[in-house]
Amino acid sequence: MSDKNPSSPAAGDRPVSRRTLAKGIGTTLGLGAFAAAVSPLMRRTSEVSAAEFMQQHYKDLSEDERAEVIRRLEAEALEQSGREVTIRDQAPIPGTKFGYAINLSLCNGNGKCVEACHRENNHDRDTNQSYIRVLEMQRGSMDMEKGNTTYDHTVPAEDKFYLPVQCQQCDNPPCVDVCPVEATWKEQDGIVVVDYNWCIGCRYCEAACPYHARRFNWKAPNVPAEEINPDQGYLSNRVRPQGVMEKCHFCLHRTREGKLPACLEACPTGARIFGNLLDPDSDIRWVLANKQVLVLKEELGTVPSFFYFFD
Amino acid sequence: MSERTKTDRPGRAWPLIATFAVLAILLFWAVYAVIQARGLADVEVEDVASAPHTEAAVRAAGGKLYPVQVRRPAGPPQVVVGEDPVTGATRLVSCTTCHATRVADPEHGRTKALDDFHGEVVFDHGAGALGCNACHDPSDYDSLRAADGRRIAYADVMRLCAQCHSRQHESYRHGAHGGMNGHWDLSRGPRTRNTCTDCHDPHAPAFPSMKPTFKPIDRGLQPDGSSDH
Ligand code: HEC
Ligand code: HEC
Ligand code: HEC
Ligand code: HEC
Repeated sequence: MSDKNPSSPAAGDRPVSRRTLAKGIGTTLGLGAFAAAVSPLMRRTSEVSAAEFMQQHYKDLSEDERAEVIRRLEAEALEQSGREVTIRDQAPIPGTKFGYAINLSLCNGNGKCVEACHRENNHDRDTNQSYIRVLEMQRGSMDMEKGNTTYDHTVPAEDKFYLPVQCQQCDNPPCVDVCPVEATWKEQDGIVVVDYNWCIGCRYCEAACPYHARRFNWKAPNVPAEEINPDQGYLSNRVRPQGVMEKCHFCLHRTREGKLPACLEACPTGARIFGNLLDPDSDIRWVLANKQVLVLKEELGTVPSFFYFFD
Repeated sequence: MSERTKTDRPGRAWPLIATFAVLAILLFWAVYAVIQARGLADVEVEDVASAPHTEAAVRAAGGKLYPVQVRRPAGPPQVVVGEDPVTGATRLVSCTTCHATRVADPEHGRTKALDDFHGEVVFDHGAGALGCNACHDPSDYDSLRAADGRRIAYADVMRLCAQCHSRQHESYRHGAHGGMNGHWDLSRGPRTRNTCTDCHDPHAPAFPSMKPTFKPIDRGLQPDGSSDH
């Protein structure tokens, strides 16, 4: 970046790179926790029920068997957190392919979407985990690798714009291709999902995602019982076990029932647009037809279902 | 595992108490939100607020689509003129109370400041091009007016904004400005939308700056771009 760009911060508050971050987490949690997190098989033999261990890959289960798995997960959730939850198994709506767009002329980087995702999706409270990162960007550049997530001043700042990034639900998802156990796949409505009970936590998908959109559960998410969102989906916001990957699923427990995603409803600037790409009358189709939309890292050929535009 | 779920545990009442607490908070919040909305009433969508549904879309939904409700101001604003000496309640009067007998000065807001009254109105809209009477109807201050002189009710304020900001209004009609709540799929449920003045003060419409309140403890990306991908 150019020298007049105020982005090389004083050594004291220098942001940590991904690599040092990984090291740092290993140190704070201790080597034992690190090993436990990256080795789910170890976890399986010690503290996981035989039923869970034997659970087949989600896609292979019959409808009755799925219902049984979900009953077991609800019982486990009640046992572990003392909170009644409903885990449903919403199927894609036929004739639907979801698309998302963000009007970057409206977004001011306030981060309400990040928080809404955190609450809706039962993310770990200790790390303020969320599927969304909002990058503060220098005007004139679309290189998301140059964005900064750590800003905490009043927004919008002079000469900056804000780029919220979450899973782009690619049509050619590199993360799906690298999964050695097919624990992550693309559903008919375009949503890339993870079976948390099948994922072995190898983190190949995290490395493969050019949008840094996948998250790893280094430890079991800590969510106080009274804060748990009990409206849950098997492939979406049910509380995840330790040692598995997770990612934005377009709030499928909401959107497959016709509702808008939580991040969209929370946006105070009205910058987010969501809808069915297969419906020619939808808002999202109007945006594609009438605004100069772009996708992130188009050159990689990932073919995202997530679009950005300046109005 | 299932047996253990059935055993009685001392903390059993907590989920119930927590549920009641959450319900109580939600109820309080709902009431508070209504009070905050200060008389903003939900009214069915009209032509000005959203793109019309095509016949095909209505047919696909089995002839039935849930409505899009657009929030609208309940009616003309009023002005506080002090307190009732007996009850102490604030006394509100409508605009025409004074203006029915006052001759309007069209230069107010443009070249002439308000020094006798309305000192609280901070006006910063249109970079000096707009006077008060670009919007307020000098022959009836209980309504707004369009540039061609037609009357616009306060409840229809979007129509007023739209005449000068047709580009934003067009985006709004297609969900690309102004935000929404509820359902993307109107065959499954309704949708609520803001009106322009929910986000923009008509007198000083620049969207206010904000302070981010929630930050992930996540430093996965750094500005110098030296992440390991
Ligand atoms: C208590 C009497 C009073 C009430 C009630 C009142 N106004 Fe006024 N208004 C005035 C006076 C006096 C002026 C002229 C102020 C000046 O010259 O500095 C004025 C000026 C204005 C102007 C500037 C243009 C003009 O006519 O000179 C507008 C616009 C206006 N008022 C709108 C309103 C609206 C809208 C309401 C209702 C919400 C309202 N007023 C209620 C007394 C009142
Ligand atoms: C761009 C259109 C527009 C212009 C120009 C405008 N107003 Fe308003 N004004 C409105 C609208 C719309 C409302 C109703 C706000 C609401 O519903 O809360 C309003 C409300 C008011 C009110 C009552 C509530 C309040 O906010 O105090 C007063 C008084 C008022 N205007 C005075 C003025 C004066 C004086 C000027 C010129 C300096 C002016 N307005 C210029 C659109 C305008
Ligand atoms: C009579 C024409 C007119 C009407 C009516 C009008 N505006 Fe404006 N508005 C303007 C002009 C002129 C500007 C300045 C544009 C510029 O600076 O390029 C402006 C600017 C704005 C801006 C940008 C402000 C900024 O500082 O960035 C917003 C937001 C806005 N108007 C909202 C509204 C809303 C909401 C309404 C309805 C309550 C409305 N306008 C009604 C003429 C109008
Ligand atoms: C959900 C809140 C919200 C609603 C509702 C809303 N706007 Fe905006 N509007 C914004 C934001 C955020 C911006 C960007 C402000 C900025 O540039 O910092 C904006 C910008 C604008 C601008 C300035 C555009 C420019 O290029 O400077 C205009 C004009 C405007 N809006 C008009 C409208 C009109 C007309 C309506 C009603 C049809 C409306 N807005 C409804 C949030 C809203």
